[in-house]
Amino acid sequence: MAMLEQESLPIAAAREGRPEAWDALFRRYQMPLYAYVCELTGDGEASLDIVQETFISAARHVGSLRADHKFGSWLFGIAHQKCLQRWRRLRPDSIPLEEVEASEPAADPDPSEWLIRREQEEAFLTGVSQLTPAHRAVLLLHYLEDFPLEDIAAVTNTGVGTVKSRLHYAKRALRQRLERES
Amino acid sequence: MKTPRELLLARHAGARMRLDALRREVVAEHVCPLDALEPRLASGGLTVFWRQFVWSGRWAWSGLALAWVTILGLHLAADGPVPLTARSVPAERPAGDLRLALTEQARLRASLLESSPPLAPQTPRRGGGPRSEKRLPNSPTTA
Repeated sequence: MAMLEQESLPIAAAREGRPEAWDALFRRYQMPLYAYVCELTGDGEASLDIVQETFISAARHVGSLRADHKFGSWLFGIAHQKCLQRWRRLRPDSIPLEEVEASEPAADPDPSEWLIRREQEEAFLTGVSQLTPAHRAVLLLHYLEDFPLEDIAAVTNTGVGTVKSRLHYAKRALRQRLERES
Repeated sequence: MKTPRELLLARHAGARMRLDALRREVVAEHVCPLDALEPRLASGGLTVFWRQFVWSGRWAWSGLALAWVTILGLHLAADGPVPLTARSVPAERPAGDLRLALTEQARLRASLLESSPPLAPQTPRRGGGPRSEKRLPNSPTTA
């Protein structure tokens, strides 16, 4: 999935305000972005609002995008911030996406494809939902867009070590769940 | 067998139609097509100028304009209205006063000229000319 970030996207045309370029960009990212936001918030209607706000914000502030090839992680970063804002509004006392935890080097950094059998699908999706939001965010960014660790760290506003650690524990928790189910 | 990505996207595939509508709405209302703003800019140079210097810095230009308007507003507010009497004084001075003042100045000038002593005649300078033209009596002369 690493090619996702290397595909040719009409960023230069979008910077010039070309509607067809923005349409292509939004079309490319609308589903993964919605899946990411919806998995984090658990609210379909709120997720549509967040995706819409993210698109509007991207169209307005594309000038702040420094590197064209980082468009995807930049867009997810906007959406992530909007999820945090929503969380702060709903639960000002706790912000699960900003959990502080000790960072450990990942023992299993293998990001290779993980094929899930049909009978495991439900367990996988339930397992994703039951992860803590901080772990879920990292895992979703990894699986949906295969962003490098540095980009995931930028999106979630954490360190690379923390991302490695969260990814490791999230994958391990999922595997354990799938093994129990099967 | 599915990848996690396929599985996650499939889970939310039901939202695709609404996302399509949302995308079209955002593109129609919030993406500012530059071409729509510049149909009258026939020359390519003007187009490039517009894109690179004006449109790209539109927020900065707007901010600058706002700052100038604010400064102008503050300036006008600080000055206040000019009093009417101060502006109209010279225009309303009666002509008789002016004539009297001129007559008085002429009389004063005449009295000053009469009382001043005549100028002393200029005495010729000793030596009678520039130093360079003087010749000493015993100086060698060139024939």
